[in-house]
Amino acid sequence: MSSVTLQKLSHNYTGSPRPAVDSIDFSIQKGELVSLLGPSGCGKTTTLKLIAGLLKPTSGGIYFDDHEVTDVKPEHREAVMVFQNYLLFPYMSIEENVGFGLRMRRLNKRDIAGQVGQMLSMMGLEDLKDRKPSQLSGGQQQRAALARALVLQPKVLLLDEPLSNLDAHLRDEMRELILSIQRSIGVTTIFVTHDQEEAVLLADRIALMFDGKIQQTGKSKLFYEKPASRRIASFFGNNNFLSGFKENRRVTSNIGDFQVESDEADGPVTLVIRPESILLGDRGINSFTAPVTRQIYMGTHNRYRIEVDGTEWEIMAPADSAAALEGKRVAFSLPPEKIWVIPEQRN
Amino acid sequence: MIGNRRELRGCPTCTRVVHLIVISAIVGGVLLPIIPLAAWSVSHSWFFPSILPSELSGRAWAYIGSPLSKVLSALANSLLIAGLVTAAAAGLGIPAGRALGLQRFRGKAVLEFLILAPIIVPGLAVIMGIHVLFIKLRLVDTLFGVALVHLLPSLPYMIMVMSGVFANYNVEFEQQAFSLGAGKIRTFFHVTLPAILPGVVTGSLFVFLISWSQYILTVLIGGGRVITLPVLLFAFAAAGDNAVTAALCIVFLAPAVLILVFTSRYLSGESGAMGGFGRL
Repeated sequence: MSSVTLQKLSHNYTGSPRPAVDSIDFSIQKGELVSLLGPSGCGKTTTLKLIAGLLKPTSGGIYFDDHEVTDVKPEHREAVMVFQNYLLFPYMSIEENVGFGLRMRRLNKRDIAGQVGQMLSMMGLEDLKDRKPSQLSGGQQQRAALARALVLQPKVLLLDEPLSNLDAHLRDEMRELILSIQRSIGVTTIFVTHDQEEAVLLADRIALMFDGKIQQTGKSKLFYEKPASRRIASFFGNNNFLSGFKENRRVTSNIGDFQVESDEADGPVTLVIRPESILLGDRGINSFTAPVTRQIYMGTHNRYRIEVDGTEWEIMAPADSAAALEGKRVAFSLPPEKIWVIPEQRN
Repeated sequence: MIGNRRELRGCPTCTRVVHLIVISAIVGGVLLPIIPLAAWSVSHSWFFPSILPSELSGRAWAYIGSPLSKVLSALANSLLIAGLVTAAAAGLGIPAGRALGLQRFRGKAVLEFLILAPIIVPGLAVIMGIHVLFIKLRLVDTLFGVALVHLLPSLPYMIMVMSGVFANYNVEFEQQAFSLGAGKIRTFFHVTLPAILPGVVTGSLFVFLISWSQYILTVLIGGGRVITLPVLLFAFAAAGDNAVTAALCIVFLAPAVLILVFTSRYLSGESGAMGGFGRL
């Protein structure tokens, strides 16, 4: 395994006015499991293909440990990519598919059989080894594709949307499998996803991409609690925004003044508040009233929609606090430590 | 595909009978014309109104087998030329088809039309010009020159078939192979070729048969020195020797039928007819 460093990495598809990957600087530790997260078309799969060597960067460099691999051909790079649709060779059996890379390395037959057998049993595919890919379920195909990559003991494992083609219960199973294998082998792994939940559940660290640029990197908690921009907050399912003007530790807004604990510079700001951080009732500080437009009982909690300053906010509150509030004007409070402040120029 | 396939309902015997009738009709349709040919080839005299030849003779076959008749050397020429043309058409048609099937570029429609033009424009219209050129290049009266000119009517078919195959081809399979450590050449033989093989076989079959049955282009460029089976066949048909003509016809048919039999599995629906794996 290796660490991976991307240095000012850019890629322009011919004929495209905008770079698909725009001067990315990013480092991945040895053995780390990192997610490249972003909406479709943000350049994340392009980045993955650049690391795999399947695309040539327009500019910038790629390093595995301290070795530059920018010009190393994909077949010599030892960064194996597993594609979203698995791409098992349809005319080969599962065993032949898993052994493909070893055959390309011209290993002798006995070694290939041994390593492939071991990998198949690790993936629970021994009984299916003589089948053709078309005779396998999606989950089994995914495991076979993963086995085909891992049997090569790559320096870097690249996964393109590893869970997105699977149905719900298979996703859980596959997530556990990927996690346990990644832990036991310790291979440096980069996976691409458009689903923030998938990234949160699987990755040690997330790199969020919009428009070909990495916008924010860090542990998943960071993206929920301290999103770097309004757009990142919305991508992580938080749409409770309030515009205001910050002066010292007070923010003036259309619905009142709020105390905050932010050290950001004074000036126009956006406040971001997680749905579960908003409290029902007047707690004496940072309180405001707003009409409840909708109340939805979710079993463990209630979800409310309220109208704040012309926009709709969402609130999650424990179900036991539930009286019927729909249509009423209700008081809410925002704990100062739970308000995240983003300076306007950053949005 | 498997999910879409519905079991045929109704009585199994009826289906079997229908199958039998259809298959017999096809086989009969192919074989029937050969029966009178076979009869002609062994007849000494066969005049109206007799149903069978009145007198049998092995003359035609003996003549064909003898070194004097040049039939065997014409057969060798025909096979060599058709083989060369097929190999050249595959060598040119696969990359051309790949470019047309996978890439979008300016003027693609014009290019496609130009590639199809030799099918639309009769070969005779351009052969005189080519003849003059080939004289300058000393390609007339040579086997190589004949093979080259046979590419004219056959190459468009190969390109057409291959561009269809590549339009249904997923390049990511190749990227997957690279990523798994296969170089370009091994990727072509292990991944690309198996995917496009049914298409290559189909296209080659077209090309081989077009070259195999070429007469006018062969005579004009070969100048009567490059003798292929069709050239001999026309000569004997014009001379009115029915027995030898019939025997030659059978020799002429045999390779085509053999090739068709050996490649039929690539042409059946189950191998995806043209292959290409399909874009996923």
